[in-house]
Amino acid sequence: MIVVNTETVAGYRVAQVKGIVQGNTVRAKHAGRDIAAGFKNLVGGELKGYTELLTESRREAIERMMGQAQQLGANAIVNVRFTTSAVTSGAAELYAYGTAVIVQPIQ
Amino acid sequence: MIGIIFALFITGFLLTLGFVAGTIAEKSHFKNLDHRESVNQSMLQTQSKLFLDPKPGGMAPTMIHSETVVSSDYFKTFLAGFRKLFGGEMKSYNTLMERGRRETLAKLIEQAREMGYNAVCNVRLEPADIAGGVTNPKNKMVMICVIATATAYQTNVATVAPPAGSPEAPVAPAPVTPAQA
Repeated sequence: MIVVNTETVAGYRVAQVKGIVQGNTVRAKHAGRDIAAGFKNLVGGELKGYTELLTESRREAIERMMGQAQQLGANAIVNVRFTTSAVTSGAAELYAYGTAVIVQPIQ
Repeated sequence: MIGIIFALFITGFLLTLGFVAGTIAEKSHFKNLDHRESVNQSMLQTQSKLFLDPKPGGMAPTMIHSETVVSSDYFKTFLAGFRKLFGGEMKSYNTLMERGRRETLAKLIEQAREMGYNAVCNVRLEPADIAGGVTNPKNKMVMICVIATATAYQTNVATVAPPAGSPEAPVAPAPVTPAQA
């Protein structure tokens, strides 16, 4: 499945629009990571644990979105957007949404 | 009395630790970023939603994403707390944001290159609040989180940086010398 965040796909033509698809995930960080981050907060630097957590969550949200698109019979998602929101302290929601379409290669 | 001296000692120790470790970490991070960005110059990076000169019959475009969480150090947080009394620009956090953004962009471009693409378009950067500082003001952990999304594709352009000032000007910020916090 082709997933892009542009409105068009290079080399392809949008043949049919299937509608909006979305995927979300709410993730909490675990206490161990919190403690490590607390120490890192003294000396500064990248918080690798949180970065990984975010990457995982984003992938999850995209996969859920792709699942929806597959159910609609689409073969591509265009114009994908992301939003994040802090649900509660220590938990964040990642939300991905886009337009499911059927694309055909341009001859 | 001993309690006060002990507390002062601890604070002084943490400030020194934050200053020394934070400065070393920041310097090496900026050096690392300068190097990676100079390598990444060979990629066509645009912020436009259009595919600039796509290669016919190339690989199908795909979306890529990267994210970075950078933590502040004790010294910077202390300086910022001081700044809050008088207001004004928090210079110590400026470099923090810059590090987050540049790191995220560099990761994004590297990912695209590993996948075999030679161009990215529609690069979007946005901050995220994952520490929950908004919902819980008592949370004192200072960290910044930047997420980036882009579409990678293959281009015909012999990967030259587009002229500055054009709508397709590179999104990578020009290397700036890190201002000391």
